[in-house]
Amino acid sequence: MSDASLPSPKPENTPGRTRPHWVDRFLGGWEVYRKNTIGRIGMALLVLFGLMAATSFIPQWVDPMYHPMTGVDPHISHSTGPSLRHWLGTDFIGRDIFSQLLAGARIAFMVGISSALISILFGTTIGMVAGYAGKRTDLILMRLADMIMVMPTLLVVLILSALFGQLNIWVIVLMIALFRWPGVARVIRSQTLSLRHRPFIEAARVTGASHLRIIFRHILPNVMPLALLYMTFRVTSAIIIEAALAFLGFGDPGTVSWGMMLQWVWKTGHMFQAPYWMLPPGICISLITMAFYMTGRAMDDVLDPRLREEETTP
Amino acid sequence: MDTASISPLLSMTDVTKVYHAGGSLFGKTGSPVVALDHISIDINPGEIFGLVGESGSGKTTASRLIVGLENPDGGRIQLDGQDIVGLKGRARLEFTKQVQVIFQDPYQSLNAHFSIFDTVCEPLIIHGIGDRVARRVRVCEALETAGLTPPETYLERYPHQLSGGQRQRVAIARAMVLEPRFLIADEPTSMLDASISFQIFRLLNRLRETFGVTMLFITHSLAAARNLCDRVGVIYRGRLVEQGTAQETIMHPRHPYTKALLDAHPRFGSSGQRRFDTLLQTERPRPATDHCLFYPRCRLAVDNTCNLQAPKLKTLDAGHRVSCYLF
Amino acid sequence: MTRALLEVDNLSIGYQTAKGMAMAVDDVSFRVDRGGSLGLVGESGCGKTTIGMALMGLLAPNAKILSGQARFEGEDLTAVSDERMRQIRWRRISMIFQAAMNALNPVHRVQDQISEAIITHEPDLSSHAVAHRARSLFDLVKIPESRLQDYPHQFSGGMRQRVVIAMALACNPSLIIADEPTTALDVIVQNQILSAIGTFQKEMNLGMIFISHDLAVVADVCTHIGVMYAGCMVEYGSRQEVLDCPGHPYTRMLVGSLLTLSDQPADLSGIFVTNGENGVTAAGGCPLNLVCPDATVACRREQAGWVDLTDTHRVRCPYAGKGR
Repeated sequence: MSDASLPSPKPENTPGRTRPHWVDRFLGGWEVYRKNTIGRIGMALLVLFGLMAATSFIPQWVDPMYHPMTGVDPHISHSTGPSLRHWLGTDFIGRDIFSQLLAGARIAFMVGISSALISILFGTTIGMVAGYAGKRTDLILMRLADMIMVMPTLLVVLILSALFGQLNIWVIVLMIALFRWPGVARVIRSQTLSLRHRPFIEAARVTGASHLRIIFRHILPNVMPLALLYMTFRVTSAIIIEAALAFLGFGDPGTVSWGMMLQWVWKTGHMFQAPYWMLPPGICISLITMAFYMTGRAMDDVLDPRLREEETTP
Repeated sequence: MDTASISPLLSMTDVTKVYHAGGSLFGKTGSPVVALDHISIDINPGEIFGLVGESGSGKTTASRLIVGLENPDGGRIQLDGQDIVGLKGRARLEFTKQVQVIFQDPYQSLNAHFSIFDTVCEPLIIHGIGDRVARRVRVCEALETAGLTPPETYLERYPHQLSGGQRQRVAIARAMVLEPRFLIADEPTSMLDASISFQIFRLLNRLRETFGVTMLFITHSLAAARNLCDRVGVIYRGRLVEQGTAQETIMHPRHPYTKALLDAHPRFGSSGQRRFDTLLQTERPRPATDHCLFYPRCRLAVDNTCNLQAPKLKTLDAGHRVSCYLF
Repeated sequence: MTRALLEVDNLSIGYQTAKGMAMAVDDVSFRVDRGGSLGLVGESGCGKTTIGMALMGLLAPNAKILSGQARFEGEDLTAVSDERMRQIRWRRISMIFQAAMNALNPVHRVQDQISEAIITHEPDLSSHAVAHRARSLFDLVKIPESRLQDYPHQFSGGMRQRVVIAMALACNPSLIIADEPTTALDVIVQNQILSAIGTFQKEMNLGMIFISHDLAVVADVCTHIGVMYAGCMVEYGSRQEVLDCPGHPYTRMLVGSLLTLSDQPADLSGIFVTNGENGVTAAGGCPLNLVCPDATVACRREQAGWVDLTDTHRVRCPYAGKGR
């Protein structure tokens, strides 16, 4: 009861000067995050890639020959090294590599984030329902999750691609998401299990709240931070899977992703002849996944001590 | 104090609840723990009934059974003559409007992500009462009743900005906003400082006077029960050992356990003088047969009586009941 | 005139926070004699635990002793070196922490934990002597010797608290600081713990500081009482004086809110609501000026000085003794 570690009066006791709980937590979390070196590096890299993605429209606007897919330099029709006209050189039919790289960034973010979002939406809902309902529902859902988790995602997607031919990028996104939700669901489920018996949940039940209301109004805000954290990890796996698919030739031929670039390098036999073409996409894939991972790890540090702090008030 | 003509608002009859510790998901193979053993309590309209017991006595289990968080394994619970065990759907919704709970831990019974307004307004939303304007008025009224004035300044605040006593008042406002007929206060002050406790008790008393709400007050402190309750029931390890008016039970306790509780109560100044001394220093071994549960600790126990069969609840005078072979 | 075991004079402690220096303890003075016990009473956040931590040299890194002295057996604890503090800690002064029964290591036997406490502070003892001491400690707190080999989870809450008390007594200190030792325990167990504490205190002629939010508990056990609010001590005197003639409005409120088992209705005239919003206020003036029903303009302006009601009883309120 005595709070030896909380000496100062609560400064927010002045009426009117109030902030929602999540704003307080966010700002507090930002303070902690800022001091984390890994987080800073990760964030810096993400900002860099974000800029790349955002500026991916610019090159073709400057000159149509810079279009990543269809831009053709009238003077060049084979792979050349970096030059003033083409900062990273051109690919095997004279398309600008740099603008392809920028477009790839856009695709990476798109694929990564949308796939992760779908995974999280699905996984969080199923995790909460399983954790809250318990018994048979929990059993069935978790067995389902286990079955999916056990399957090798890449292999299955490859097989499906082989069966159905070239796939649209969005179908790929969906498929990745469908194989990736179990991990999230498991974590959210355990969080829900521990929340289920907390007094404020029981208070809601006593007030007559329906199960749906409890899940989405009471449990969801509490598992949200964890869900968002896991989203960063989902992004990394989505990007890698898409890159792998594209590299192996099962990607969407109409989109320029880094994996697709690597596919072209390989297919056209320029693997060891054109480092200016091969290296950038490879490095980008590694860096962006590392960036997301670092951000996730830093967020993890932010979340854990905060969670513990919540538990031990007063 | 003839209560025979008044029908009780809430009655528990022969309620039993057994937990199986260590059981697995598929089989109840754990050793059974009897949390409540054929408990019968009647609470009359408008009165505050105190259920006094230590931790593990089953008093919190009783409150959970009443509100339906769990179901009893035997016996009946009735509100105004209607069975309330296993209610679902519409009936349950109606029930929750009439019976509310104030939980023990004010630091955990409020959702940290909800503003005070959200917390107190939620019952109104769930039961579809009023429109936005009307709800705001009612929330403010409830906060004011709970002693949080001016209520407008609390609406947009969050639990972590309030002290323990204030949070408990918010919990009380939430419980009262539906104007329930029956309120269960489950050790509402055990997590609060002693000086705040007193203020909360006064508030509860005022609620009873203003709204006529009937209350079940669960506590481990006989003194708290004495100050707040009309009638008191003492519960030991799942069995009711004594029941009567607060005055009578505490001024003239009968059961050895009640006497032990009284002895243990801090008496400032007049220390050293314990009145009853009914507790054994070292416990006797527990008999294998059915027996009075207090037997291992009871100095006044009679061999071959107390350790052979559990005593029944006997009515003495004026509604005072004791479960002890000494009476 | 016995020399006091502990004399605290004008102790002030603050915490360095992002928003500046926050006062946790403001100009507190008291004394504890050998065999005597002082109860520090107040709501959460009033600074009583901070005082206990300061005496043990266990303040948080961002806490600073701003002024004052704490003379223990002649030595000023606020000025000793870390090395000396380590020698004093547990051997001369020990502490029973809040919720200490949850602080026992679940994977070590209880005897090992007590032995560890002894060995850490008295490394020169032979293992035979340590074992003997552990046994006699258990005897002192009335736990059967056969339980020495058990693990913490095999004990009930009350017994674990007794183990913790035994650990605090391990090195024969002269002063014990007990910080809410009976919170979260049932009434009967609480009573047993309190009488155990009272017994060994008399047997070993220890000085004791008993920190609690519950005046009822303190009143049962202590010879002297110090009432604290928002970092300041507002009243100080012998148990009888403080309980029978409380001078400060806050003390009157605490005494009035004591739940009695007696037939008389409680005297509610002195009750006012503090709402538990405790914490040293930045503005000068009595920290209670916002909630005290008798507050005047002077109270808001400046903190009152001490008024001596008797030789041993003093109150920090200009209206002490009046309006009762």
